[in-house]
Amino acid sequence: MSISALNAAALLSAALGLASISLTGEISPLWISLSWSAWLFSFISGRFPGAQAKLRRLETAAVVGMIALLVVDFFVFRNTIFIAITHFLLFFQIVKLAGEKTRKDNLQIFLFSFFQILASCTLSVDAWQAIVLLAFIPTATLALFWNQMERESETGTPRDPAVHRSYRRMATLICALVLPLNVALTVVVFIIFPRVTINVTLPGYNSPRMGYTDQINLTRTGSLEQSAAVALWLAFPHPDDRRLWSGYLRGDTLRVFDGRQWSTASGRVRRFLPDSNGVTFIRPHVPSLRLIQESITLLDTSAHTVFTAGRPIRVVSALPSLQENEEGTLHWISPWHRALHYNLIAEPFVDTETKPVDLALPALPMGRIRVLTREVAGSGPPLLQAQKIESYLRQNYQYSTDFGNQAAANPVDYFLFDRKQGACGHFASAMAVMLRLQKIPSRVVAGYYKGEWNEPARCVVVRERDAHAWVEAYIPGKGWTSFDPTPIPDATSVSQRLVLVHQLNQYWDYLSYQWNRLVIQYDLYSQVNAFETLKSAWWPHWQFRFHRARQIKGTGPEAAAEERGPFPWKKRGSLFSLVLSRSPLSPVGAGHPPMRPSVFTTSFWPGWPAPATPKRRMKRAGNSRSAWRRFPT
Amino acid sequence: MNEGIPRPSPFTTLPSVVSFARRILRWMMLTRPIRFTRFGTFYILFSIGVGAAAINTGNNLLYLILGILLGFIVVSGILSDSGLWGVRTEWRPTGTLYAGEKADLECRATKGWFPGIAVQIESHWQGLPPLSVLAPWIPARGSVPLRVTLVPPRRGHLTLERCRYSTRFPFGLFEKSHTWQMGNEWVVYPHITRLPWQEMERLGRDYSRDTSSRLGQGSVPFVLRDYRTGDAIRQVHWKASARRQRLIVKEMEEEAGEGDLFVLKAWPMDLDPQTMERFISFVASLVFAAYEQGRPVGLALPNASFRPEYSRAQLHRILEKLALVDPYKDRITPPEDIDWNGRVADVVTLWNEWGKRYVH
Repeated sequence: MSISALNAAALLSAALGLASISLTGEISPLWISLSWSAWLFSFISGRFPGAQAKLRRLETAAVVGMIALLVVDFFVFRNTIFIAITHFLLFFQIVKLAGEKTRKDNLQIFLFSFFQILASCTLSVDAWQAIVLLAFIPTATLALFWNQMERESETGTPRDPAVHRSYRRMATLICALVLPLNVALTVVVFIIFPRVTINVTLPGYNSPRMGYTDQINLTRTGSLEQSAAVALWLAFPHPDDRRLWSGYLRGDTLRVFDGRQWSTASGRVRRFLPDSNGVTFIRPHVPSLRLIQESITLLDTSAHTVFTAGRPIRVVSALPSLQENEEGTLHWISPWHRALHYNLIAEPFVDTETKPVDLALPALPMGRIRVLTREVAGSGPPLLQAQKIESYLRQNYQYSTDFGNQAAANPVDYFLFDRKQGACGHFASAMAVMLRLQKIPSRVVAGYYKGEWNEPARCVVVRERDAHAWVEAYIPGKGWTSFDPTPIPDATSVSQRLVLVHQLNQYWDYLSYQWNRLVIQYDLYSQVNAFETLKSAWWPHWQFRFHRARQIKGTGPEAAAEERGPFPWKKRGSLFSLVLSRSPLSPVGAGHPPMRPSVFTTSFWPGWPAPATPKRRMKRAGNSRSAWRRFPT
Repeated sequence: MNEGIPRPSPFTTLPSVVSFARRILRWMMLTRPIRFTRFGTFYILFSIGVGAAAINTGNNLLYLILGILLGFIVVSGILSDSGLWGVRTEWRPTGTLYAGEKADLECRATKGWFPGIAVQIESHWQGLPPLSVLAPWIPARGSVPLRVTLVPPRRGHLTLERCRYSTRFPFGLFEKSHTWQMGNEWVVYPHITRLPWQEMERLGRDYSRDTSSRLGQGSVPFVLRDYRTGDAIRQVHWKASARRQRLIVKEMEEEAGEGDLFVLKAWPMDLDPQTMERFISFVASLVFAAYEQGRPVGLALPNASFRPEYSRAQLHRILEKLALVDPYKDRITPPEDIDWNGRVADVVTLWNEWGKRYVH
């Protein structure tokens, strides 16, 4: 079994393309296994020349078939356009891998594997893409080089074996040269390429895939997939804030229940626009409540929901606008298909407002539930009743991700009396209904619970399987209070029990986190920040003299002289450390300015408003000293 | 403290810096036209597409892929430039060039610090379509011989005007080239026609002066005499010895071979240019045929005369003269009168008698 260098490079790239598609998890196992089988078969396909010749004759028909498949896939199976295109690519790749392999066929195999990698980049932005892209560079180098060399030998004289040996040495040399050079160029292009997102909506691009949903449907059948994909990263710049966090990350508050599905109540919506610094002011701060600072990286933004721990009062993001519904949940309405990073300042959640809908019961038979509720809750104060119901559900029902094969007409009744097991949505729905039967206003909150602390990244990793629903009951004198009737399953997975595996998982998560922070999150703001960092590194003396002279005002002439000094930046370390400390590469919150300028108010593009650098802010504010107090840096 | 130690002059490194700067300048000044291949055009369009998708979606992975694609373009440019930089060729015909005959030329391609990979060498000749030859591998600081076959269309000078070195190395995205002015020149002899053997034999009998009436080592017996001590046994003429009953030896005549002298008193101006070329070809063929038959050959032309001589140099001298002659300019001076015992062949007569039948 001898294969040419081009064939080997093409098969290598095919393996890479298939691996990237497989790792997205978006393509059905049937397609994946078929593709890998074809890849394995390609090593021995040369032994069946007759079959290859037949396959060659069928190629035209296969192309027509593929187009038909694309149409059927998109319109009949209702796959998104990207999934349909990926199926199309896989089908073509299977035909090519199984068939005869001339130079052109090998080139096509390589090109299709590249398209697969491209498709996988639109389907998933996980950290393994970095490995795939890194491996793609030498693979592509080899494939393109050997393709060209074979092409030249097709037109010229038969190749001398000595020349072939020289080519092999050259291929190795080129690979060694191209990899670092291309990586460096890629990084440069990546950093300096202008980030002007147009956001023209593409059908099916970034379709919803997360465990979170803003509508809890109790009539679902089948089983709930426990996806380990990271949904968001939650960091607390101040470690003390983490201790205050209850573990619940609020998404939507669901008040309307029709017996089968929970949804948000329609009502008044408030819209917020960020100021010139990119800060969106949601509500005034209640001085008695302690503030919590959070930094969240939302990987899947398909729900358009700003998740928060507590009630947000300030949000700093690149979003052009935010809107808050009556339940206090923040959403964005502008198209935003990629990961979103936002910082926010929140205060503990306090809400004392109730509505008639919080007591509304669905038009379904409630007889058995009412009897059970009376038995369980008794007739004590609302808080006690709520605690009794919560406790009863936790102790007498089991958590299960299997919804069964039957869609119940009255899901809460079916859960409480027949099935007696369910997911968080069933528990929360049952408790909310039972509370309403006791005339206690209640609602269901959808969001995430707990996640997993990642030590290397110093933040909480929240996965899709951490999507959760819990109950809030209105307790007179306390306001809306959270209850969680779901018996929390033992979250310690097998991998967590094995220390080494757990540590590796932690490091992989950390790498994913860094990948997301440095690559996926790199946007126009980061770009402007990076350029400004470089600029400030070139003239650090002026920068520091300007900043520090004002900040240390009043601390005494000696301290001022010491701080001001001839070269004050030297006291703080090297130029490199200065650049690093002010760059987006620095750890979470360490070097980031507290006020994040909006991407739409920077002067990166000519004619746009001036950036909100301290110097210009100063000028805008009349160059007075008091202006500096108003605009802290 | 360092007074005793001479400090290196800052100017010692100047020549190398200047040389380096000059090389860089030369590298920058070198024109390298770039042509997109079909694959390269698709590649560029696809890169633009990926860029547009990246801008539209803001997906940073697409930016990374765009960076990789653009990186390949840059790397391709650097490598192709390295592969082309310092390619030189030396051209040499492997044999004599005759008009209308296939001729091989050896092209020795040399390369600088980086090997040349798949370098297409396109030679541009005066009056000929460009000829291409592929050098699959030119070793760094080495050379490789290549062979080019061409058919010179006419006698005269064959001029290699310029060479265009192009490569699609390494990825076939672009074809980068640079052109080098050459100016090499070789003489193409007139077309040689194989003349009929009978005519040449007759020509030999009629015009060739090939005996010297002197004793020598030829093949024709010249005189018989009595045997003398010291004569070689193989010189004994056994038949004559038998007849005369004593040993008789034969002595041979010297083969002088003074050969043919072809004379052209004046170019036949009544011939049209095309027929004139045929006529010149006929003269060259006569000379060539006589030389091939081992006879010394000479030629008397207006403005030039070559006394009969049997040597390759003589043949080349005559053919070169015929290659470069312009009959319409050489007609004024009559040829030098060479005394050849009146046994000279007038080529115009031969042309009219039978030459025009054979030379086309």
